Amino acid sequence: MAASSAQRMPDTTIDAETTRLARQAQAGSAEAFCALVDLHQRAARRVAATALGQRPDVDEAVQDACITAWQRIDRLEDPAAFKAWLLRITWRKALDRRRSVVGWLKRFAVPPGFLARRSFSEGGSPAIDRLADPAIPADEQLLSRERDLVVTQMIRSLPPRLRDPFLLAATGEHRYEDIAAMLSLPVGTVKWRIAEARRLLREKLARVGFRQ
Amino acid sequence: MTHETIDETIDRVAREWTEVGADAAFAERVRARLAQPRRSWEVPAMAVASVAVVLLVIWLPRAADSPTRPEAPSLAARSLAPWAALPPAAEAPARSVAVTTEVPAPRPRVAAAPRAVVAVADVPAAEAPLDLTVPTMSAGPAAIAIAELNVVPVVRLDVMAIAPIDVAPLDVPELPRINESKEQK
Repeated sequence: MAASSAQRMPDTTIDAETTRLARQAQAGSAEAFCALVDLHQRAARRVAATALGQRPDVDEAVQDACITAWQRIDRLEDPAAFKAWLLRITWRKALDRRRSVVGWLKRFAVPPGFLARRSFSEGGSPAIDRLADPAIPADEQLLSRERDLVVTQMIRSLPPRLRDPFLLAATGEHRYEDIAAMLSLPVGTVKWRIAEARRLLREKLARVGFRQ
Repeated sequence: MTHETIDETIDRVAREWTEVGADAAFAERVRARLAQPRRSWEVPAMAVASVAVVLLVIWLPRAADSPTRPEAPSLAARSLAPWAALPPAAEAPARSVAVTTEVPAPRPRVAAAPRAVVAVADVPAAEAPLDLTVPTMSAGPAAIAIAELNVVPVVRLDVMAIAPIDVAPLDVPELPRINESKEQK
């Protein structure tokens, strides 16, 4: 599928392909639009996961965003900016779900440690590789796992205004300008919030005994 | 990997937070949703709901002033709107002063006294004979103003009084003065 092909493509090729497909989609081609979704669905799902965590409705939020994007594709002024535009819509949809009463209830339904367990259990996770490595002593593996859990809980406890830009930046897929556009914030504020989130995490971790 | 610094751990955990697995079928699901026609009931339901809301917005204020509604308060009564919040006749307090009088003539007209303190509650025009309950909470000697009671014959006038009350009738022959009842004394 194109999701995997997108990973193989160099950035310049992806940009050119995005522009071409976006123009076709604006002309009414649903096929071209689906190819666009294929190219950028992973980034969109990561954005939704930033807002919602690893919840089942991440995919639903991204699908809603895709439907909205298709309905408004004629309003997209710069076809080359399709990805940033789609991600902004996705972020809004994910926030809508996060703020909804149902979303609020679902947050309580996710058991503590769910994220960490998920990352350990899914294929390709570095955590599972590390745990499975017989070369690493068992006590180190346990310590590492415990630290991961604590860090996960600390990130979860951050206020959303700090956690959101921090996690978006952590994906490594967005420039500060893109994050600022997504969150409707000035770039300087985004940079400060990311630094503040990191400082708070370090401080909290030091308080529970995890130091450099 | 186990010797990573705290910063490296934070970055890695944050990256894993948003990590999503490959989903080859995602675009197919979007394609299916795009191809899905809008559910047939959605558009009519939205239209009906919109029209209903508009009609309600138009109708509600009119219904409030509808002539079919029990007699609208007179101008004097409107100016004393806070009295309307007083309990209805059925919930009249025990201290009510019940003054029963016979008013044979239809459409009694009572002009406002100089110091009007009482509003006349809504009076159903269709009901006759009629029991009127006029609430007042005047602290001192006061006059009841009953203005333009466009109703059918009043056979009983109940006055809920906290303070001594004086009724100033006009145009209604032989409407007696209301004195405090024994109960209130």
